[in-house]
Amino acid sequence: MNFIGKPVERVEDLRLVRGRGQFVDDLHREGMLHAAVLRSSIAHGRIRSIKTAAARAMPGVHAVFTADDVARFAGGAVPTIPLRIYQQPDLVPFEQPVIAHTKVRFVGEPIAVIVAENAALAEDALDAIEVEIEVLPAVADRAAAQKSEVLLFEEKTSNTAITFLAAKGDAKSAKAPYLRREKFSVQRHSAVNLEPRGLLATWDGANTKLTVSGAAKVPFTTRRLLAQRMDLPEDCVDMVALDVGGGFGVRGEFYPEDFLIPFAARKLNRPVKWIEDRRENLLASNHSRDIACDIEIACEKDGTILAIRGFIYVDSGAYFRGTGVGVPRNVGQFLCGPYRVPNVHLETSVLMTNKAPLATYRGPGRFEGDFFRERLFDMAADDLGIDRVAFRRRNLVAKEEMPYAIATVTPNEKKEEYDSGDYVVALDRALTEIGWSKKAALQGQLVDGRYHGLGVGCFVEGGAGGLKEYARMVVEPDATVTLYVGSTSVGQGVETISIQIASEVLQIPMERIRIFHGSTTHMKEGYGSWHSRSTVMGGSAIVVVAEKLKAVVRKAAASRLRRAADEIPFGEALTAVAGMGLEADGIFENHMHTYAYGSAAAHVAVDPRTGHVEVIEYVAVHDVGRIINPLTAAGQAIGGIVQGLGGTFLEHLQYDEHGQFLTGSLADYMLPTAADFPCIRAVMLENSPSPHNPLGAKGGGEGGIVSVGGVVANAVANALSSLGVQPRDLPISPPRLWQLIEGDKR
Amino acid sequence: MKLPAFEYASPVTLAEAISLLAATGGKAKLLAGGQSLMPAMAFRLAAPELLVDLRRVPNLDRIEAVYEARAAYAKK
Repeated sequence: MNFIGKPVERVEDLRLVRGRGQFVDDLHREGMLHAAVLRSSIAHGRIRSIKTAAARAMPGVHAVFTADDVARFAGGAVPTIPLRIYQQPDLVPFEQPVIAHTKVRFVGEPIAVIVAENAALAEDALDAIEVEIEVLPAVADRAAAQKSEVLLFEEKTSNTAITFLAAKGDAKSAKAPYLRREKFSVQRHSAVNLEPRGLLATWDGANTKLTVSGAAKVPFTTRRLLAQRMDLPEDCVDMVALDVGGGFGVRGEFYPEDFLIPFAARKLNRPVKWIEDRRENLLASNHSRDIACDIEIACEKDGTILAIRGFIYVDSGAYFRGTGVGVPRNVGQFLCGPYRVPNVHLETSVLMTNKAPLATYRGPGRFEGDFFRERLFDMAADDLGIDRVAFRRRNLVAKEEMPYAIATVTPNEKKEEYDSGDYVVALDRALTEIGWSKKAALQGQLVDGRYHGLGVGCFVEGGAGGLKEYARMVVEPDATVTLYVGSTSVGQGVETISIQIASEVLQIPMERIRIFHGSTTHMKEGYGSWHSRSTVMGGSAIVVVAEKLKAVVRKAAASRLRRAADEIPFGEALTAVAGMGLEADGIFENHMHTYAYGSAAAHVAVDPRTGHVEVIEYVAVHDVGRIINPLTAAGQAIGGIVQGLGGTFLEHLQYDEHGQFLTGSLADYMLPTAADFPCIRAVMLENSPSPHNPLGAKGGGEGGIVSVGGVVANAVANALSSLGVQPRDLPISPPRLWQLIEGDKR
Repeated sequence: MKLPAFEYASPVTLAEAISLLAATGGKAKLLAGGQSLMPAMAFRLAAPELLVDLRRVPNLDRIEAVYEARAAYAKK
């Protein structure tokens, strides 16, 4: 029986489409109160006073908490939200306090929490809090941050929090017959989940137990951070993961509310619920992207790349929290993508501004780096008179060069290499799939008032981050198997593929396996779901444990049935030992990342009168090492592409020159819909298994998104080649593109 | 993004609806479909004291094209 590789329908879907999913807002507890958060309307200022008496006196209001209450509880200082990855002491001063004290540094920063009988009363009372803030000039963009005339953190001498160097070889002194230097930028945007964040915290004082529902992504890490900040032993805190409406890297990190809501529940000894509204979601969930660069490529006349060097500037917002350094580290390290670049020197400055904190969103730093690189490559190929496909083919890392060492990032340097791959095969397949040679004659042609263009690009995506994952299996009295795994579900189909993997190893039908995952109540330890890791890390942990369980069950069955262990089919053995309480647990450890890869190609038509771009066709070819489920794998790729098209054309978290937030609703922040981009295809391959895990799988959740900006912008430039239009900045909105067309005409 | 507190009236005649509007001196809003007003209230951009629901008011539930008017328009 084969289960891996089969297009099995998602086991999650029946529950969800029948309305039987359980999301945090579906939960109700007796005596439950509701919280609302007062957020700063000022981008940068000093808090002079917060008057809460009037709000406290309003009907239905149970409490108003400010930084003073939190500081008193915490024994003096307001706790901060630490970096979850790449912690370093010199970044600690930039961590976000769980509630603003002395200063506010972005519009949306929490100042007070109101707890009331219901959410409407809590919101009514927000207006009754009087906050006096001495307004300071806002640092509203990269240029203002670099000047450092106004400092976000006065104890620092600069708004540049840190500079990361991605380096390989000697790019600084590399000389070349051809050089081109360009500036590009990607706008601030992020994951906008269908379901906003939410939490329900209950405090059981008699048993010293804090239970927080609404956990996601990394429940065990969140528990550790929360327990420390609550001054509780870890096992007094339970994090419960439920169904969620999207994760994409943003949901499940530690946010201010992850402290404030449990804090309120504990202080009041009542269950407290908080559901983020859409304005808060856009204001204060992690923002991402927002990177500009000034980079140079050095080539031989034949197009062989000698070096890539230059400067990258990340507008990191007001604080570091959670995965805040993931984006600036990635953008430099992966800017060269799947190409052979012997010399790399990229300095990434991380600039603090009065905006919401920046952190990871699907394809962090990679979407941006791929846009910069693929644009630069098309310009270079054009200058050198080399076909842009030939330029890429010449420079792609070859199969024989694997494992291929890439640039390392300092500080906190770690060697990094691509594990396996035949990148040219994916490129050729993408060209075949879109019919490149047939469509070639269309390039730059005006047909019925629209210019047609083609674009192509190649990508790698990192997977399998985090060092370990845990799994456990229990044989139930009814001869079924219960599987527990540390992976969390953020809608990616983790239940389905986990059961497929378990079924494959145990050779029993999927119906005989139940899965529990995510919550800290199921296991002693777990890592979770980020960095495209659940299939590789969770899946491999399941393989390890299933093999163990198989041995345990076979042995017990052999003695019970008095037959040789290897003669007994596993299903029969399981029935024989049901009721004996057999179980197995285990860990999969891996310090090497996987690198899925591929190519994408697009065909667009541009209306020069309006600047509107129609994506006529977009095809991605994506090699994920081993396909567990072709449906969910392709689903990940296609979903990623749609999100990437949103980031390429529509999505933009905007601020004015005073740091005031301009896009607080979905009327201002535009998302892609099904009708916008109907012709998207993903071809999944499994030509190059990863050598670093028993499945050969590679994380595949982010490859779809990373190439979209570069590929589409190249197609637009190709369409408008007769007008000399070169998009250098995202998003490619109709007015912007129209201005480029009109400007270049003059 | 919950609604602020407001009074609600559901008149059954046009005259009643008009008198409710007049009596509150501009602090009332008419509620028809609510597609614009409800989000505005949820964002706390609008906080009318009274919502006058037109749901039960007769003769406001259709648009009629009157022949003479159409003929007059066609001549223009």
